[in-house]
Amino acid sequence: MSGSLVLLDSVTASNDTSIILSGIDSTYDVFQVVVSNAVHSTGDYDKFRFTSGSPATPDTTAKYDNAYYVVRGLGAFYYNLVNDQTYTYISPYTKGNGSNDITNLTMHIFCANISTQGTYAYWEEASISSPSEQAIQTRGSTRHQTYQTMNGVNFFMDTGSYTSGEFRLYGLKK
Amino acid sequence: MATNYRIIKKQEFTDVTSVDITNIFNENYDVYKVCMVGGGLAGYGYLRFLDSSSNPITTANYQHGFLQMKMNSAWTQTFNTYNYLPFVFAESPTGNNPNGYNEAVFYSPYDNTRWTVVEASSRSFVSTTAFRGGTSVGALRTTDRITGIQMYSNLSNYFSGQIIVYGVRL
Repeated sequence: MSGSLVLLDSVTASNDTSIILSGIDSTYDVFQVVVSNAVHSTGDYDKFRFTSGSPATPDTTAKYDNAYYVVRGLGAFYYNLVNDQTYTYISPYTKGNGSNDITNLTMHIFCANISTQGTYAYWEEASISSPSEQAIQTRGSTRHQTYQTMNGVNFFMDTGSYTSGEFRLYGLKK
Repeated sequence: MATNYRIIKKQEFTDVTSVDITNIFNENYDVYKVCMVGGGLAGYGYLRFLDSSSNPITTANYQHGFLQMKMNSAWTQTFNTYNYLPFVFAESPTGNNPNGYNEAVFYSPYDNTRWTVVEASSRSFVSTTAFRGGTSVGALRTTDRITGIQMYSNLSNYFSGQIIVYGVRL
């Protein structure tokens, strides 16, 4: 993957309860998402889904398999795996609405534009979680089991909103 | 807008116990990837951030977590707060396989309204039969404007290598 990043979609959050980045198609093989300085209005978990259709709509079928581990600044590392979920956790640790609580991550998405395979994602998160303003590194992967194309990603929380933050979707040039 | 990763700095160092990588974080980029290949450390590469005057920040505000995955023995982990960030760059000992490969991603180090957060991974050979992978997170719990990094051996041993810094503007 020695090619360049090509910006496909960009959102600057402003009290958004849901962020959708779309533009995945057959032009590129691998896609990269970068989230920087995402701030939350209330304490909750960051989650994501893939999107499909037009307009891009989150896929809520219970087809997400997810495994992750978390290295933490204030406690022992943690790992887990879950199957057949309707979403994927970015991290099993909540972010609060404190001034230092924040989400940063880099994610790679594979096979989203191949209708004969599932869609895969792997991400590395470097964030500050609540309570106690703890540095966390989450490394996770997910697979959407359905053989279909996906055209984007959706970041959301069950409550509250992203008061600010930069969300970007890139294609990795062949 | 520089949406591609751009090389900001490439710096080689030979037989040093400490190296400063200065003026790599600035207002032109938001997220940075730092790659380091090195050898001869026979210990751990510890890290401090450099402030706006390129002086290392030595206050005890670095929170870190580290998990080391060992091929030939049980995994180990640490977490604590120090006046440095340990284990961001892992051991790269001498021997038949003297190279370690490390990479770290820094988020918004130049932003003086937020803490700086870094997550990293490392791969190294302790011997020909002991490969180790490391993964770590760190946060400087102050809003200092960070312009560079200082890497040094925790055992004051000599090491050599190369660091390449990439930046992307969101």
